[in-house]
Amino acid sequence: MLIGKNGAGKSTVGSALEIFQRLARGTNRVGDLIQPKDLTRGRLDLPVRLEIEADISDSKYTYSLALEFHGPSKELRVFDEILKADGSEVYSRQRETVELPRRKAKFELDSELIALSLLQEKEIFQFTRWLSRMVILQPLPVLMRGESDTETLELAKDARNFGAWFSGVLASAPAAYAEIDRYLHEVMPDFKDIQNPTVGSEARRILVQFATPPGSLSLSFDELSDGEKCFLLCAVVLAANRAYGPLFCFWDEPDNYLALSEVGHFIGALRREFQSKGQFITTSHHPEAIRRFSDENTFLIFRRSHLEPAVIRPLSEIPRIGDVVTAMLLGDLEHERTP
Amino acid sequence: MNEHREHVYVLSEDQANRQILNGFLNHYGVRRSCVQCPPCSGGWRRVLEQFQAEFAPRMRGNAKCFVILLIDFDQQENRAEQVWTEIEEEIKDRVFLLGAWSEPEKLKGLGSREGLGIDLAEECRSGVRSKWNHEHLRHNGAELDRLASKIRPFLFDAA
Repeated sequence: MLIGKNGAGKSTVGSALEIFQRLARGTNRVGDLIQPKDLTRGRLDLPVRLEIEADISDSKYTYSLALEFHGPSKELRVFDEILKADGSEVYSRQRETVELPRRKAKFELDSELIALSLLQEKEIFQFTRWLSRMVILQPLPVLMRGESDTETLELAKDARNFGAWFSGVLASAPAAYAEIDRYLHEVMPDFKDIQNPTVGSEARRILVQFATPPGSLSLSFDELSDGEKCFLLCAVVLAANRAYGPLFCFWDEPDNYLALSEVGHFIGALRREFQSKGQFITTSHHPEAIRRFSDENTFLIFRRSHLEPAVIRPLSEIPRIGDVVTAMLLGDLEHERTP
Repeated sequence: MNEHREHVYVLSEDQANRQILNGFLNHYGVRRSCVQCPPCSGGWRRVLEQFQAEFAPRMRGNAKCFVILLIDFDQQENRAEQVWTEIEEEIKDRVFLLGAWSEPEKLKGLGSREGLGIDLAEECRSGVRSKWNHEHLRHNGAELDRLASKIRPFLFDAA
């Protein structure tokens, strides 16, 4: 759980992860991922470096990408790039020159292009598949659509392609339906079933049926409330982690759109699922969501001003008296940081 | 939460107890839908006040409503008695009193708070007590026996 005041940098963690995700999904032109205006306070004289470490199937991957400003083109270009698996170099790169040490191969690549999604090594495939399937969420229920004419395992950040993802998860692992069904029964007592029938020649549309004897009601996904759409999203996240996980899930403010009485259960379901498999990172300002985490897994992000960098610190290292929510309300957590 | 089915409110004294409770709720077998955990009260007296003001009336009107008071005993031999004398007979059999003999800090040797919570949940589910027999927890034995017969059947999914 990442907590902190507005503008501290919580959502930016998700945005940084999204760059890796987009790269792995095939956006490999630097200018399509990062613009010079994205650099901190317009500091064009220093390279910007993005790094990620991930444990995937008992292998530890470390990837680093540094970009520098290229004056003549006024664009960012690759300065260096390296991927290691279990400490062993899969490939490295200095500007245009890419080196594959195990193949003893060296070749030139345009520095406007990032090599990661262009190379064909086995480790790269595993690493980019994991990155591309990360679930990074800041859902906008009003944009979420239950209709689909394709299947995918790559969910959009605003979840607008929910229907296609739902179809993709079920096509990938039909047994996921049981998990989705189980969760929805838990959160919506009158839930009866969920279907994804074909409409026309190739499209599908999610239908949700509710029943309270003697009556029943069938609603299309688009007719559900914002909170109910989030229940379905949560159900498929849980099922996807079991079906083709372990997944990495970053959910920005999952308490949005939920009734107060549902927040704790919603967060609890995600926490329980990911404690045995995968990883779940979330942000929130909601007391109920924050209380579902403990000092050992809550981190404060803060910065003294917009001109200074964000700093992250485990809550367990911040002395305080009493409830964390009260401490946040009174601004005590940040005050403790000020000498 | 469906109030027409058995359900339980857990009122915890402070954040430390709440974090053990967080772990308990993360146990795979706990039915989250029948548990609700209001914000911490801040002291055992306040837990009792909150109980009397908000939850005792609910219990009187609903036989399927149960409450667990999660407090520190502060090594006070009469703490349980102090609590029980303030709870009316009519609902007493649906109220449960649990907590560390002194305070949760004394349980550090049993692992992280959430980890301890998961382990305590597993012992409640299985009925095999190990960490519950810790010197700062074993005084809960009689209450655990009552919990096993009245709350365990609806709190845990069937194995």
